[in-house]
Amino acid sequence: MKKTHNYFLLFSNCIPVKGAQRSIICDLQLNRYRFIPTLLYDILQLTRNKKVTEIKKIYNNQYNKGIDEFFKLLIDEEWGFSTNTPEHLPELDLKWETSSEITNFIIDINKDSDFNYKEIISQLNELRCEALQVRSYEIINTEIIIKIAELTSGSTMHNIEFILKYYSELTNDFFEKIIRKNKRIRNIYLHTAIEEKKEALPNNLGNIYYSIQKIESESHCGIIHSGFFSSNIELFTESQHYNNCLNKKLSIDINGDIKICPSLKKSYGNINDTPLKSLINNDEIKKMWGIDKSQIDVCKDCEFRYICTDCRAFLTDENILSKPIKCNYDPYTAQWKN
Amino acid sequence: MILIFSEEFDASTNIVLSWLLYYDVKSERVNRISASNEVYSFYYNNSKRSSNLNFRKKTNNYTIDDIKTVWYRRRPDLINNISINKNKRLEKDIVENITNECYAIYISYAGKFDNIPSLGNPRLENISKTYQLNHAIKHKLPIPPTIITNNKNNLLAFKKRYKKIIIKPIQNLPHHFIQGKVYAPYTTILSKKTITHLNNNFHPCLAQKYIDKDFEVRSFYLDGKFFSMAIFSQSDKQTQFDFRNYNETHPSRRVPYKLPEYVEKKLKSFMVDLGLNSGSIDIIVNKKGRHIFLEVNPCGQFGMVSYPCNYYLEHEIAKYLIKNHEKK
Repeated sequence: MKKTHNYFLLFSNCIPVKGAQRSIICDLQLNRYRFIPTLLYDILQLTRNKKVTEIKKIYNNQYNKGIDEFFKLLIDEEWGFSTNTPEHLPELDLKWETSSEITNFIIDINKDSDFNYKEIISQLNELRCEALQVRSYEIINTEIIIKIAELTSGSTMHNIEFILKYYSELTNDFFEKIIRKNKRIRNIYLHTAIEEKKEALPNNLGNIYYSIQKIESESHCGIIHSGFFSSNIELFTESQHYNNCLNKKLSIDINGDIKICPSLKKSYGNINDTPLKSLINNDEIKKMWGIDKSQIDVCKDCEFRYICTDCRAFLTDENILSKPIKCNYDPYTAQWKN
Repeated sequence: MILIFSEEFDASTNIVLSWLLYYDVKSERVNRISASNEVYSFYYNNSKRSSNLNFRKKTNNYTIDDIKTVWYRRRPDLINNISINKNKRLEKDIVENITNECYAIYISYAGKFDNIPSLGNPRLENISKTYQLNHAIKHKLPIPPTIITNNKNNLLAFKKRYKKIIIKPIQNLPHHFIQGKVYAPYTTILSKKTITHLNNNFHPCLAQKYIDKDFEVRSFYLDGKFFSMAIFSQSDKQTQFDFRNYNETHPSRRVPYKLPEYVEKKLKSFMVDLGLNSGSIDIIVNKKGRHIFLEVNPCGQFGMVSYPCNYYLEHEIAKYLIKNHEKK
């Protein structure tokens, strides 16, 4: 700390989150987090309104050395800084807003799926959907891919992703041709491929990821792993208010049944006879979208809750508010199993 | 109807448009004003009764009377898909002429919309730095000591007086792409060694006293309100002089900032005096906590302030645009 400065502050995009056993600081700008003891978490709650000397006094000057060392470490590692004007460096507003009725849509396709893509995309436009993911577990005709690429080219969707079962017709050339016409298509993932590789298309047209992993159904999803943690403003703020896996998302499974996530059992009608628009004010869907981390067993006490996406499909028990079954972390012991 | 002048690849415009759709308000985006236009038709008639300038989309008829608000986000693309050989003097001149003509059309439209609410002003998009600095002085905003000179002795004297000085462009300059590298006219420290290599007279340059900064502030001004961001870049050599020298592995820290009220008050009267109802303002806060005005960019980016500070400025702009607007 600079000698002339009286206050220590974390940068307002470095936010402490308290867990049952330990706490973390989430750096929403640099996408990183660091563990801190809960005592420091409590101290950091005071820094905005109290001078460092005042904080030390609250702890009867017992921890003076520890507090100085921690603040110095946090400044050296660029989580915080010293200042005399904390009132001019306000906290980050954690509101989350979107102009879209739904932000993400998933279409699951099998070789027997027969959808009216034109109609679906036009409905998604009306809802100002931002992102579309198309997934196949069986080999699907290239005509379907071309059709979806054409239909989305003038749409509200600016991020289109394909996860497809690989076969010989799905070549780099094929994708280059369709992405050249529709640059909203960002990433192509091909599973059940012959080898594991990443190929970059020319002229920055994106990447094609080949994976030898076989994906046979939507049950591959829902894994909770620290490698999937993401410390950014969007996820952190959305997680404060909504379910960060389901919020503003809808999908259709291979039969055209409309679900919030294809892995969930509950269907709200079939795409052939139920307009998507009729579902955006559905009370049950809105309730599912709104299950934030403070309501979920175990997760509510987990220090990773705002940087970890949830899964409401594969759960430890029947209770919709129970912990994801594919999570091996126990916040009460701060241990990962396996 | 809200008319929006912008560029094809401006992502901020997309987000604002999405908010306008959210509020169910009609808008029209114009990315290009070109000589032989397939999308729009232009018509100007100076008859005895009234002079009339008309601007219509061919597929979707609307007239100037339908336009209730205008947003000058960016100057639209002013050139057609004319393929030219830039090395040929005549072809270059022709393209320049067409561009100038299109610019005149653009400015004519701006005149047409003088009496309706607008955000931005195309006639003010290139206010010079010296003009801005003079206005800043008028409104008692501290500015760095500044000279523009083409003379070596003047520059040496300035350097001697302020020890550490910087140079920057007098007006906005384009970036140059040379052999895969970008050369941008960012703010740079001017060393004595560099000055001694100069001829006695040279192309004029703008020099300022180097300010030992605590941090920088980028503030987006919208209709009397300030949305500010502090940029802490001092710890990193690359961004010490100009935070736009991005360092990918070590980016400057960007967090919400609240300007002191007395600074906001002066800046507001400065903006009102210039006739600007929006713009991106650059400020340096020195080690003593003094707020020193650098410049305002009337068409400045706000996305780079909006996202890191979670301000949702695109939503704020949409709300401003529909203020004077009934639903379709």
